[in-house]
Amino acid sequence: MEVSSLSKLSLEEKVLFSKRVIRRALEEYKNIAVAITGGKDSTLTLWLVREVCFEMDLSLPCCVFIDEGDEFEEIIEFIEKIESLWDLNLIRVKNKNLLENIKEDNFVLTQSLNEENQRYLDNIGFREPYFIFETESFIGTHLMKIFPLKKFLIEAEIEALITGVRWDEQEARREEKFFSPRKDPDHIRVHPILHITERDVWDLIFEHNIPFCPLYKLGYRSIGARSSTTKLADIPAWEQDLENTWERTGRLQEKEKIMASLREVGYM
Amino acid sequence: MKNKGSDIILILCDTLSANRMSLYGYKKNKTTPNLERLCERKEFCFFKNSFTSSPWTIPSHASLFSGLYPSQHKTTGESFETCVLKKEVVTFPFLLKLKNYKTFGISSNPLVSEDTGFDKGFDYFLNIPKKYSSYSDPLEFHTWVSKKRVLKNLKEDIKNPKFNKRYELILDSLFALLKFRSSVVQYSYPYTQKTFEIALRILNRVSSPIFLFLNIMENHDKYAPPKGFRDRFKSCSEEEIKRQKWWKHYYKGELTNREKEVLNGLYDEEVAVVDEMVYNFLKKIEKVDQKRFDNSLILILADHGEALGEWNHWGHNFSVYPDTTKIPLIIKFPKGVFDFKEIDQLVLLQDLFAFFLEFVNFDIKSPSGSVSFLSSKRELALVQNYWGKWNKEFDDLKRDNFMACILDRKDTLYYLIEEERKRKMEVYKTHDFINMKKVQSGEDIKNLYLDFKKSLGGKHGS
Repeated sequence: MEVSSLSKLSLEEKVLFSKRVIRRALEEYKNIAVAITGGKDSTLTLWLVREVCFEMDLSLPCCVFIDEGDEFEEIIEFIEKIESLWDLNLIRVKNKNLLENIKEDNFVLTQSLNEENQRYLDNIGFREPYFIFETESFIGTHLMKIFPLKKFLIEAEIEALITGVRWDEQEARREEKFFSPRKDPDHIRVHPILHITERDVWDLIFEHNIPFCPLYKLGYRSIGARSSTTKLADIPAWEQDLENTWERTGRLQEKEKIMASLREVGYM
Repeated sequence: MKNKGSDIILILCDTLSANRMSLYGYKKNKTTPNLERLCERKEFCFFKNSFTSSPWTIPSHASLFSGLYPSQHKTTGESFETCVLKKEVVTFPFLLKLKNYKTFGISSNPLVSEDTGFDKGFDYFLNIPKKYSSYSDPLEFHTWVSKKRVLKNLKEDIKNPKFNKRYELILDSLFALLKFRSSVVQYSYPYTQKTFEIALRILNRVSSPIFLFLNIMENHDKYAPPKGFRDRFKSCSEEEIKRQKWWKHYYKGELTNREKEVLNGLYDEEVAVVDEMVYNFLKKIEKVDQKRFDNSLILILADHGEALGEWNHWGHNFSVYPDTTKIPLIIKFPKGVFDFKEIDQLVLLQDLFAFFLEFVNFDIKSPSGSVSFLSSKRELALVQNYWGKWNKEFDDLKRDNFMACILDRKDTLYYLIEEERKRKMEVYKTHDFINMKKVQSGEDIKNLYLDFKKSLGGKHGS
């Protein structure tokens, strides 16, 4: 189904659609995991998976949480809270070796890392003697998120991973499909809430009393690593102008600055 | 190498072409009499064959600071995202800090600022035009000072706990801007003056060892030499300076012979301005503290040159002939450390990274793109220029990646130019990068170049 036709559905119908996606995944794949981040989207996704499991009388699949070593305390506490509340089988993955070798000012000597990490860096084409560790950078994302997740998917022989990405989150997500095959390792990504908007997420959270991380109350709209996440306003996320502003505005401001500088020296 | 906590002062003259300096053999005008005088002194030397890693500000500064080729550090300037130094890149000021250097940067170039990430590793970085300038009217290319904006920024700064430490420098830049009344591109002279003034103050107040980076914009278009220089080479009238058909790093239209003459004359006069200002700055440091001056390492260089019609190109950032790629590199070593003069070996801008590490005796590997000219010899250098997709004003012919390769081979120098998209390569033989003789086939040179390019790998993660 297309983005336009799905967006015309009522919220109730959208939820039914999400549940259909989850049901199909549960029927088709044996080894399933749900990725959770402590954010509102993955929590809603997990809640939906739980609902479907109740309906199908299945036990809840395992959950995976990638610990980037730079998490907000509120996120860690929230994860612990839903872990006991919903009795989750939660697996925390983390690149310990990298975290242990980050020096002052986030300086990392490549040769101080273990062989596994060094080999991974070589595979992604990085062959320099040192780098600065930043969670949102190319190397940081690879070592802290992609590598531990890949390792988990291989070791646990996961066939399908359910995540909470949404079409209206950012431009790059517009092309995503509900079932998307991935390589290295081969598995299926299942995206049951692609068609749900930021506004819908909040409506569902309040309607069904789904727990959420207290950071949203302080004005955060999208939560990533501590060092790279900023508040967009001081009012709670759900009271902000969700339709006309982006969840991930930081990057946009950076672009404006660069454009202004280029114009100033006579480019463009 | 003996190094007793030497200060390192790097003076980067934006857009200063080596081919237009009489020190480097330019014949038409005596543009650099003062630098020539300096190079006669025992502790000074100049590298004859030094090149930039990319012919425009952003990728070349990224190479200078990271020791990597543009395709490696990926700050290629192809998109807005690639105009910012990548977060994972380690810069040499960052490493100098680990060696107890206090690091200072003062830049007149709006593209060398916090916004582009070039302040990484600096304890203090000041971008003079940026601090209090206004972007309210970007389409007009003006950076007029808006009083409202200045007051707003000042208010914010006073609230900043770091303000006390920096208030003097900040107020300086504020008053400078109120005084300048022009953008750095229109008239850079007061910005250059202010840069040296603040640099001297830092040197007076901060003890060794310090690293000081300066970017001055005199040679960047528009060319507007200050009074006293305007008629040095009898280039043009006041009226013609104002009418100057020059703005955007490249020129698309036809220039009349007179217009060409005006631009060439003005550029030469700006070279003379830099020559005198840099000389006076060094003289002042020497006068204040002779011992400190003797013990310091001072470098004068450029981020890229400028095309002024020699190869039918004007400006910079899309052509890679030697007028835009060959840069000056003058080094003053600490007294008693070195006493050689002209250095023939091939040096690439990014090699300074490895050189600094060796100079401060830092026992740590250099990035793969950087070769210290103190201990090894470079045989092949690559200049990479990627087409900026955001730049709508390129005409269709120029939408290409221009690469150059300089090969130092058994006393013969080769210069190769590739237009990547068109898969067109030209090979030249030269001894001075002014007179270049086209080589008919040059297959072996082309293959060497292609193999080397391949060894650098693809541009991942951009």
